[in-house]
Amino acid sequence: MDEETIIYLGFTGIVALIAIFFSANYGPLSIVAIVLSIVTLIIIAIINYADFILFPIVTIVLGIKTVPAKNYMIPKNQNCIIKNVNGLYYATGYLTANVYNYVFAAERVDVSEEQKLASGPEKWERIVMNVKFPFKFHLITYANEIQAYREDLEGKRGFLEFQLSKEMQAASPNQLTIDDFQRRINVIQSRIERLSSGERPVGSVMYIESIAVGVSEKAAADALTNQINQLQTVFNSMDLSITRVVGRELNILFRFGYFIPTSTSELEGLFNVQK
Amino acid sequence: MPSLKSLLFVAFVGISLVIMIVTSTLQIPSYVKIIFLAIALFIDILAMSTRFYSYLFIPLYRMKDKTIVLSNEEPFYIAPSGNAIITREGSDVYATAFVKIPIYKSATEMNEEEKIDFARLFSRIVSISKTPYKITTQMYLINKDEYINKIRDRLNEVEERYQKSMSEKEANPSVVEREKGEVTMWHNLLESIGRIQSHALLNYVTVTAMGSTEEEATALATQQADELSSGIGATLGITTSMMSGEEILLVTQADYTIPFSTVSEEIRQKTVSEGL
Repeated sequence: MDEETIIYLGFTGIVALIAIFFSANYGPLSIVAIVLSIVTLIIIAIINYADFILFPIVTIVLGIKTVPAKNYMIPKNQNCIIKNVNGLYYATGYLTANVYNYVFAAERVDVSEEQKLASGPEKWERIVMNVKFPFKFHLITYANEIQAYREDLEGKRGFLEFQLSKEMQAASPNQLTIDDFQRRINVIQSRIERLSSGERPVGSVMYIESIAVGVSEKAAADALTNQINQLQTVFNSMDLSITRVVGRELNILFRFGYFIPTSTSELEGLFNVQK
Repeated sequence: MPSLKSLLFVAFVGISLVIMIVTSTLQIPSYVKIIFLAIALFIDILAMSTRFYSYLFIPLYRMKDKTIVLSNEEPFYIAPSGNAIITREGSDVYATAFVKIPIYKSATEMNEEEKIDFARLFSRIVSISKTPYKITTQMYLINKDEYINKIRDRLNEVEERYQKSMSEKEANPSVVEREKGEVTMWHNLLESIGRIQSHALLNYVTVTAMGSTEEEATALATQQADELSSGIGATLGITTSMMSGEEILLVTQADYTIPFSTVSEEIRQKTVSEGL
């Protein structure tokens, strides 16, 4: 949990907890006060961890549209951006394309790295051949400081080794826990070895964009949903974690079309960066 | 100076706490206290929402007809030099430059070793700079607007001639027949061109720089783009180039990715077939 999350969750959570603590002051309605406070705590947690669920619900219920720029509109269900040009509607939608799955697979250190590298270009070409509509695959990337990254990995490895030795010396050591610690140490070790072989650590954010056209807002949005479903299917072969972007992040990705963050901290503040 | 986001958060948490403490200690009926508690908790939720949605608070306050207007400006404009786009965020000016990466290799014509080498070279590209940059592969529709418009003009011309011949009392039947055939030919050509979409693939890199003036931001962005361009060019052994004018519009504007006339015939046919 990062510092910002602790501050926001901490302060707002404390306010709701104070209400529970002083619930006796509400006399016969103290139960109502407790229920209200618990509901508030739940909403706070949803805003922090899954605001993409709550925000579209609010805009759909209240029927609110958003205009991010001149001639652009985000409809109330917050899943696309629509542009009207000469009576034709262009709907743009986004998919996250995190490679977490790929990284987890690659971190099985026994798997041949070369085989994976060789299959990459071919898989990509097969995807391009199967897609019959416009799309963009974006990769925002930057190189990390090698020394700082290495020290960070070595620190993590040291901590895991300490936990492993503690578990092994326990009165009744758990084999599953020991295996898990060893696997995590192996993963970090393989990353350190990759750094030693000259590979540079990178931070990256990946996403896919697609554009559909229609004679009405609905026609364009429906065509886009169709395209996005197809993209989800074809990109399955790349072992990516694909999710359609809705809500607040839609506006951020729309702006990324015109400018990207100029510093790594800014980018890391907006998205979970893959490292 | 604290940001609007932090100010709103502190203000909402403070107001929420004050309402809660004051009402819980006052000698007022319980149902009134509960109403105030609900208000305090709602403000607490607003405090949490400032983490992600602080940018919405002022536009939400100004909202009209259930529409939140975040900006009424064009999202960008092209720099006078033509090789970057400019975006303004408050007092900051951002310039974004684009570098075209022409890759003509295909995995189908590579052996295993070449595929591994190519993937390794690509891995090197993603770690070329410490400043964030964006690598994009874009599939777009080839613009056939000019060609389609020429066919349309020709079709209108022959249709007009055919109508004129038909209205003449002493028209030569063979001329009318020939003109009718010509109309059918242009119609068929327009239909077939509109039905088939031709796609193209484009790879490019985007880099953004911030400056206090438009000139400063543009100079920084083009300098970074030049550095990336030479790094990528040397790694892949290709000639990269800065994008400008219409090329930039192709990668930033939806109506350039899907050109209007190129798709209008297909949409017309689809609309007719759906009986709309």
